[in-house]
Amino acid sequence: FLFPIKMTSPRMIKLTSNDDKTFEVERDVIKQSVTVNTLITDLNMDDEDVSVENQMAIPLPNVDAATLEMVITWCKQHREDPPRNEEEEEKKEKRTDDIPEWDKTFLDVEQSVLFALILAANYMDIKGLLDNCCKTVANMIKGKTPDEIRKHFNIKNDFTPEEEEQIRKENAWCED
Amino acid sequence: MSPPLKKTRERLTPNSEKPTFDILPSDIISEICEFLSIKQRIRLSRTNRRIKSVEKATGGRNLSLTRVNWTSDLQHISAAALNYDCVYASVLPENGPLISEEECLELVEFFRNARTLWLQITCDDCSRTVSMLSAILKTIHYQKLKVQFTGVEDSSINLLSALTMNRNLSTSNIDLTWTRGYRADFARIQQILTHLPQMNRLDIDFDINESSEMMSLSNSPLNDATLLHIVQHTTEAVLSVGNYTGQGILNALTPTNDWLSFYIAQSTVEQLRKLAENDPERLEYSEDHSEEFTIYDNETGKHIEGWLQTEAEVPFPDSALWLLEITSVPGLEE
Repeated sequence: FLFPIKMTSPRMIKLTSNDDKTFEVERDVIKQSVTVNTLITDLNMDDEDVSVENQMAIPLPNVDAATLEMVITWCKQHREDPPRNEEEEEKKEKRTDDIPEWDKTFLDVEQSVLFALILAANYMDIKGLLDNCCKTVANMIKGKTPDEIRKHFNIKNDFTPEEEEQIRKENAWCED
Repeated sequence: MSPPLKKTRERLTPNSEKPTFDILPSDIISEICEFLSIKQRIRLSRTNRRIKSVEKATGGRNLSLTRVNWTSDLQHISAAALNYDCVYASVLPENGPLISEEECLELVEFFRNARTLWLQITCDDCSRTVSMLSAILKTIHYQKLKVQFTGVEDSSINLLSALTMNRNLSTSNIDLTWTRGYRADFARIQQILTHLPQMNRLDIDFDINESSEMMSLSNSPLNDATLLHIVQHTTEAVLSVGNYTGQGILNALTPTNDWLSFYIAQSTVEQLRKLAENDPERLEYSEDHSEEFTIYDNETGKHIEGWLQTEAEVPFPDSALWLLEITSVPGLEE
């Protein structure tokens, strides 16, 4: 028996950034965002009969267009990743030398872009992206003294000299 | 319409400025801290006030060996970082021999949700400080735990409970030793042993000597009920002498254990021989080369082999002591 094969195009979802740019993204790609996924489910937006043209766009008021574009690129790259088991992830040793090569290159960006990605991944609840961003920041911190960390990230030192001396004494055990 | 806030995670709204490290939410800074060694975390915490308080609240420090020496004269903890680049040593109590509440709170903070590969504890019976130690170690995660209770009075219950109850120990190895004339609350020890969670390996040893109250097998916290629970909740177990019966051993043993060894009395050996005579299908006893028991499990086709060895030194004057070693053998059809 031969049945005609019905060619179905992938289900698309519209997302709008806080600077009013709308992106169309495959449903299967954006499922990695728990926030978006929950919203789609809660609002019954998985209705196959509604065309993407007639579909309501999901506003993401905490994410700008440039960052959202990067988030979508990351989600496309990781669409085949197995679902995360958070319980297993918790048990795993926390290491930073296991960032995939593609992510290393992708996250090799200006600090402000990396932090915007972190905020977006946090807001959109994309744990894999958030983890790799945090690992990237941790790798930037490694090997630096408090002064070097301040300089690298432009962190304002708000300790008094007395407090600094006290903290230095308290933590003398872990310095060479 | 904004997406629903499903988690309690702190969410910052964007501002017009480019984001910098300073504006990251506290829980993100916490996550970053968790990827850093202790030394590097402390360096980060020295950069400014907010980061210092976030780092302190994060907990989850990664440690290799944590050593606890907790007696009525001295309460001290040392902990080597996972990458061995620094060693933390608690400050000795400043005012007298006992740790103050403030000093205890510092330690609670340092070890909150810490992960250590080895946790080694020597602890006597100073009940006040042991309750503090229980609080300090309540949330620490360990791979291997070795506790030596050295007190003559029993103060081990609370600590043992804090270190084992409501924990996921499925990959952990635990080694418990009571030394120096053990006078414990046997009923409570039994209660804890029969509520232990699943773990990889359990070693229990009681140092029995003339000053011990456990000079009779009937006083051992290890009996048929504890054996049954331990067998069901461990992959490997090496247990001390116990008041086990032949039938209790037969009921407890299943082919799920890779390795089990414990001491039994001469009278229990006699019971096992009688059981073998009565039910040779289930239990086979052979004296050909060594004293050997084979217990068959009809459901799985597997069987368990046990060897008996007499001990040269017998601490119980009225009873010979035998070491029974059990190993599980897969069924032929597998």
